[in-house]
Amino acid sequence: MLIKYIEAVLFSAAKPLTVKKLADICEAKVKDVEQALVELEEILNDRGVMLQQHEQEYELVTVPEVAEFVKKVIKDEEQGELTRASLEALTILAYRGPMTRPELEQIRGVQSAMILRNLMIRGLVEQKDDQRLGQPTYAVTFEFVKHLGLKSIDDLPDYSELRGHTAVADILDQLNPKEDEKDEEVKEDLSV
Amino acid sequence: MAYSVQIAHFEGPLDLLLQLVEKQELEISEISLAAVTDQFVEYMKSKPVLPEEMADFLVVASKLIYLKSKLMLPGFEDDEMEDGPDLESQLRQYQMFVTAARKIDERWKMGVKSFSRKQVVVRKREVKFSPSPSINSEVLMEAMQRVISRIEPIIKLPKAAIHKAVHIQERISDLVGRVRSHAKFTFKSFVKGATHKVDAIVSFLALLELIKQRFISVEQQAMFDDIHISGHPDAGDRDPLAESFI
Repeated sequence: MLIKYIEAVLFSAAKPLTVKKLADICEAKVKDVEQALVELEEILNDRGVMLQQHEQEYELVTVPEVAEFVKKVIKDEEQGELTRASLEALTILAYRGPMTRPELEQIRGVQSAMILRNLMIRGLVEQKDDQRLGQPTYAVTFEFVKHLGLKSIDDLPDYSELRGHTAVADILDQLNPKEDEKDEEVKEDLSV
Repeated sequence: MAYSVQIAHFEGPLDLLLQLVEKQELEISEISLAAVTDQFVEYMKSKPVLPEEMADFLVVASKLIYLKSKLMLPGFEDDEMEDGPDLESQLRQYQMFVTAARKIDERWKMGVKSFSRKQVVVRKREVKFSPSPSINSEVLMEAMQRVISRIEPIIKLPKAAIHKAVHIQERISDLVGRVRSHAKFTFKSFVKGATHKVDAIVSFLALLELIKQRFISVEQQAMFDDIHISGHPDAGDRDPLAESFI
């Protein structure tokens, strides 16, 4: 029964809802909702609509392969093409986000403040609440996932390979203060 | 330079570097990076680099020159330059994301989007300013403090004064002018007006460059003695700036 509730709620909500919100609405436990969402996704396999997920949110959307027909009945807001630099920043954030601006710049090798701002204005990137090293973090939005017609961000080509790549982790590690250095500072403080 | 490759457009220093290496059909390695160093510097000079990106270009250029120096001088190593990400792996992972970005771009252009339902607004709403009841002066103050604490790290950056540096090309042309007007003079008299240590260093580099080009001859009696400078017999009417790589 819970699957039916969730499907109906997502259909009528017409916007992404978090698992917690769904649990509240359907008066169910978060764990049961998560299970029901997995089942709903399977049921919708091979249909015109699918369950789309980004971070903690879910939404019912049309499948990408029918886009040309759907466009005939709803007004499509053209996003336009992306510049090389925007595309590059977006790709890095999609595979490795959320990340801070210095981390993004470490990978791109060039300052990216303007590009981040443009991507935020276009609704493709958003600033997250959590911080790292005193810096806000950024990640791609639900809108981005929708624009590419992915079930979720994990559907990007070579996602797990690029996400878990050790070389990237190493490069980003060099931005972080070294652990032993931090310890030293603490000791100095105690001796004073 | 034996031959050069043409690059029309580049986004940042890593992009330029990657294009240079790929155009030569080379794998990314310390050797291939060192091989394109001169071209990288050439491109930095010939294409206008945005002022806000200049620092990033200089970082990569200095890493390249360091790599090249290391390959030429066995045993040469500088702790400060070894610190931080090494250029080779940095470029390799950049290449990975460039490839991934191409795939995303293809999909983006195909327009295979998914659409959500349009939200239907049923109730007619009165337009008014209605902040959430949970907002009070304390919440606003905390929000403001968060904003300020976010700005602080930017403000607290260490301050260093920037000295106006003398460009090596200026010093070369000064030196050339001096050699043409004076038969003989000393290095001390040449750097007399220097206000900063860097000026003297740049002057000395200019001196080395002109010795290399056989434009001047120098003589020094003993270590730390003043250096006597005179024109080289081969100097002629050549313009050393045109030959200088700097």
